[in-house]
Amino acid sequence: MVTVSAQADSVGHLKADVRRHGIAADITLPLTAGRVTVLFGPSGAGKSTVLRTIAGLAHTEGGRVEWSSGLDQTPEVWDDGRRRRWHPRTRRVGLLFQDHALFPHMSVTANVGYGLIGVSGDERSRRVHEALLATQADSLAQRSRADSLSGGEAQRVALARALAPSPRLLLLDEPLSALDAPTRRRLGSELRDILVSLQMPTVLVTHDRAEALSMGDDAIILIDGRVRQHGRAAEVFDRPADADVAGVVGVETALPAIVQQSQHGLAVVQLGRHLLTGVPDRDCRVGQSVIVCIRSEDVSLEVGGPRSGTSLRNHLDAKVMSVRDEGALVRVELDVGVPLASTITRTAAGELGLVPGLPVTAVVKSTSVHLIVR
Amino acid sequence: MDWPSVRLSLELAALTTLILLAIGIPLAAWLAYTRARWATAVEAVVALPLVLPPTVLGYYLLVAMGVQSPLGRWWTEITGAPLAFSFTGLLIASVLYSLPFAVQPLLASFAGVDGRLLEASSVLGRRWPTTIARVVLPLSKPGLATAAVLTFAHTIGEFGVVLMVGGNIPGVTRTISIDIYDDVQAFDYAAAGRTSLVLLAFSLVVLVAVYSLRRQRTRAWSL
Repeated sequence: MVTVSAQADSVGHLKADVRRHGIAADITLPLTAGRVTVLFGPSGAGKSTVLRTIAGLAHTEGGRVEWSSGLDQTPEVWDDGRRRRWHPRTRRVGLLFQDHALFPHMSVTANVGYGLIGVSGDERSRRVHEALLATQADSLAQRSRADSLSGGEAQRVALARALAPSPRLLLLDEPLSALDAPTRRRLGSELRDILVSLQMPTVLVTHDRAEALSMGDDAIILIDGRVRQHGRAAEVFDRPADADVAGVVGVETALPAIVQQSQHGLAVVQLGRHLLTGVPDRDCRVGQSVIVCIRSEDVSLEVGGPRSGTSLRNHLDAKVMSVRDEGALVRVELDVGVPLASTITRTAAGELGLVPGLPVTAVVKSTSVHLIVR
Repeated sequence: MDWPSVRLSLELAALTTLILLAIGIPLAAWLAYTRARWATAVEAVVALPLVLPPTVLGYYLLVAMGVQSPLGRWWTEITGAPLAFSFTGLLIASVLYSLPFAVQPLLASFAGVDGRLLEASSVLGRRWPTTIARVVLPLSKPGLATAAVLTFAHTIGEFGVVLMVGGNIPGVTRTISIDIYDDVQAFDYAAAGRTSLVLLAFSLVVLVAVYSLRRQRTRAWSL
């Protein structure tokens, strides 16, 4: 796959302390090539505003946006929070708009080449072609008007347009939300591959959990304009820092795993000491990495010795780590080689006599094991 | 038909249209996209000729161009001829008088261009004039055509301002509408009628053209 002029620096950082209309989000991102940071939160949390402020289309009132390449140079102050700002054109970032915002009157190649300033002739054609190739949209190069493209096609061309000038940072605003469901599934799986191949630091805004888990290496949870958690995507979704974050990300176990077998729409993954059968959200190959998502309500518990003859699927030997009252329900943290959570009724918990250290068997139906393919 | 008057009117209208597009495009672009509060005041000043009696505008322009005024004196010093009652004076007056007819259709058109396209252009490294030339104008063709046609037609038909600023000098400031006035004053109703009929037909054609452009634009938008 062709790589569009990767920026190799991975030691700098972007600091965005965005304050505006009730938003006070302070974010520091290491600029690592090929690393995708997901900005996740409910609608109205301020995700798009943060992204637009980084791009220079909105400004911060107080706060600061700063770019540091990490090469012992003084940081570039993109926005000092006091009306001194760099124009968007000078920041050299690529922005993919939610609804593409292609220039409708221009051809596909004119759109992609629009940001190539002072580049003409063969060099221009080459870079336009490279960008289209990188987003697997080279077959669209002959289209004479951008407004004749379908949603998915427009998305690829818009991404190519953002990439062509070799930006230092790629910003994607809800890249899949404007697409219909089948296109979203198809393009979503390819977008992750494209992003990885680009080797560009990327920030992606989304309110979709599966999208966040399939695209993101890191995740930042934004609620009511505040950063509530920032860490590895799977960890953030698996271990929310507090009840608010848990409410937003959904109370689920989310663990990285590798596909061991795949057939008939089911896949077997290795989770801790166990093999677990689940339903992947799209076709996957053996060896591909997935995020295993299990709702704690879907994990039931049995007490009794480990079963011999493990023909039964998804019976996991576990040890109770902790038991926590949550009103009528009890949340049980288990150790199955990796952490797993179960929520059962208080009555059930009493009958089982759950105490930390007790060996139990955790049972999950295959249909309750969601595998998000990356 | 008084052909020198017809020629003069066409020349005046063509030049006024060219100058007004050159002034009107940046002005309308600024009005459409600025967040400055005083833009409203500028918009009101631009619209002033719509409601002001032409004689009032003509009076102020005449005073401003007269040899008593700094502008008039400066012009006479440089060119050796007075500005009032000259073709240049008439052209300046026409430009000011037709300003709203150029700016308002442009403004409406520019404001209708999706703001995200302008943002995309900025993020892609383009300056404001490039964005206007390559994104805004191509998407505002009907507005441009409306502005040009309305300015041209309005200048052909103007009377009060021309009479005040230009006077009635054959071949220099005597336009077609002044010609009709003169014919009527001389009781030559036949000549006045012929010229009037030509202007009536011209105006009708222009309006049909403008409205068919608008219709096309509406269709294009509804897609």
